[in-house]
Amino acid sequence: MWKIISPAMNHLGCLMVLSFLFFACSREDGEKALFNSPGHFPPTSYDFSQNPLTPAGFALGKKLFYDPILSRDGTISCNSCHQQASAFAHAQHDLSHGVDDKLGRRNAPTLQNLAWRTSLGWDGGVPHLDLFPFDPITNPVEMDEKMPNVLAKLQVHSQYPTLFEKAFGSKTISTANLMKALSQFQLMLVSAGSRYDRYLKGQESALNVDEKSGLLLFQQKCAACHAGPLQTDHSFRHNGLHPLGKDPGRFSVTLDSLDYLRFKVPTLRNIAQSGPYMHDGRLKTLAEVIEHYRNGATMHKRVDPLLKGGIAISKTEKNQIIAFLRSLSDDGFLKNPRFLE
Amino acid sequence: MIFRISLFIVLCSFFACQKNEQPSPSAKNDSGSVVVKFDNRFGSTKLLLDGTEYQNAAGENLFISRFDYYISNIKLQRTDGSFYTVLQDSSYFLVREDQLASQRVTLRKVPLGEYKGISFTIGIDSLRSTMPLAQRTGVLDPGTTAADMYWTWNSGYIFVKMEGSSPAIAADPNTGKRNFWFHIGGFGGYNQRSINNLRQVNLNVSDGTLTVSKGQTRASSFHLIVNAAKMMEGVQKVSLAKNPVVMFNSFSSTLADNYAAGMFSLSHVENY
Repeated sequence: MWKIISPAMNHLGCLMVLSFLFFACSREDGEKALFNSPGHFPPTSYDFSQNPLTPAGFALGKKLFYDPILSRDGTISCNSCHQQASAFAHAQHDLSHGVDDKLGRRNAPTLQNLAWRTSLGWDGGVPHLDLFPFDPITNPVEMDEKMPNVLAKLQVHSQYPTLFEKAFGSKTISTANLMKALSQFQLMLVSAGSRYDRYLKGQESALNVDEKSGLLLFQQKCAACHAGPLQTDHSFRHNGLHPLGKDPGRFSVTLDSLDYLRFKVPTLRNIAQSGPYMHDGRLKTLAEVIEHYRNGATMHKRVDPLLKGGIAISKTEKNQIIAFLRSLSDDGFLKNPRFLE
Repeated sequence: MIFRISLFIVLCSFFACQKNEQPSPSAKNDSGSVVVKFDNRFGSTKLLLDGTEYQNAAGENLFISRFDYYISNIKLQRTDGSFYTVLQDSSYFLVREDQLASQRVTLRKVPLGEYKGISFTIGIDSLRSTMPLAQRTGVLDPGTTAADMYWTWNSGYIFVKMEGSSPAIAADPNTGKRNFWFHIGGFGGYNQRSINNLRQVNLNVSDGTLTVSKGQTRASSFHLIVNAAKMMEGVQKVSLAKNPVVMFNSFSSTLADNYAAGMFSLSHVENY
């Protein structure tokens, strides 16, 4: 392509147009290779046109995700509480410790399929992925840092200004580009390769008899809230747990009394690896979770109407549902070397 | 490539902005600047942080350690009643009591003419509050200047921040301090309705007009008095002892109503 261009000045315009097209095309291709929306997933919520993914942006976001430089004393990174082996949740932790060993009040959720999220956080207080990192970075029980300090530390770092230039064309590190980079890494965390996905795509043998029975039961008894291929309708509901602390849930965001003690319906992908469960991590096993939903008698009076009186699930059915939930595990995602530090 | 695209966008938006400007002055000489001065006070005296003791309408003594607020979407009213709207991208200001320079705001490219009033929003409108971060720079950047005027857990700006202490407030059992915090914000909610503490202020010159004319050596100015005491009395008396912490809760709307009702007044204009 380049050889046909004559060095004559009157070809310069042509060269510019051609190179524009060339780079435009190559970036389009790069984007496609970077982020693939699985065919059996709904349309994404994230507006990629505002933050086109690039290999440099993804690599920068990954480095930032694993770098404790984001915290006040350099001890806590995003990865401290969001680890790949548990779908970027915090394995074996009901709650997590931040800087100075301070304890958070909610369970660290998984980070997967974030491009489909309509809000972030258990209470949905953050509407956009690019706005989310402000919260853990500045929260006194998480990273306890000030944003201007983060930007200043990155700006004088030996590598970051160059990496930002590669990703966004400027060595000056802006808030917007910092957040875009973190989003680029997180958006790539797509889990769509479980046995359940293979079944959805037509491979009958991907699920065994018990798992198929479990899927049917799940569709009858759980999918009103845990809907669709991402197992969430993105709503906020009171699931019957009695409050242990003073966390008002979604109410703190909307100040609507109906939202008191409501929390987000989470995705169930990689659920077998991402315990403990519930917004405060109080339940250790999937069996305990099913038991909670069976037992309407112990549920809080403000429980969601769909759960009133509990869900009728027999012992056998319980095991089948758990078997199905385990088929949502995606080893290709949990062990993907691309997401490793 | 990204740079090229952004350059293209910047150029587009540049031209878009040029088009939007209303009414478009055809040459530089058809416009001038207007200064808006914010004179923060408590009652009738100049507001001083920390050392000075004041008394609110509820009869409580207090010290103020901090007083910051956002002003946006400024419009100037002509003598014929029509409005000149300041270009939206240049219409966001953060006034801080501890930063003298922030209390003097300059509006550029104001069409020549006579103006009898000024109106603005206290806070940041919902549209701007939900724009991508790249369009929220300067005083709106949650990573720098706006970092202490932004709720990270419930994304949005704090419109008005007043902090201080009062002997009327019960001592904190852990620290022994008697502090109060008024952090008032809330633009109505992103995807579900929530409180809206945006308030509009319209002020008129009682006597004469403000002139923007050719060849002015200094910009004419609106002098606004901002009476911080009104936070606790504009519509409803607010007791610090009863309400030492007012942040994102329903009571915050009472304080918003208070600051909308007479906290800002127009003292006079100066013409040059």
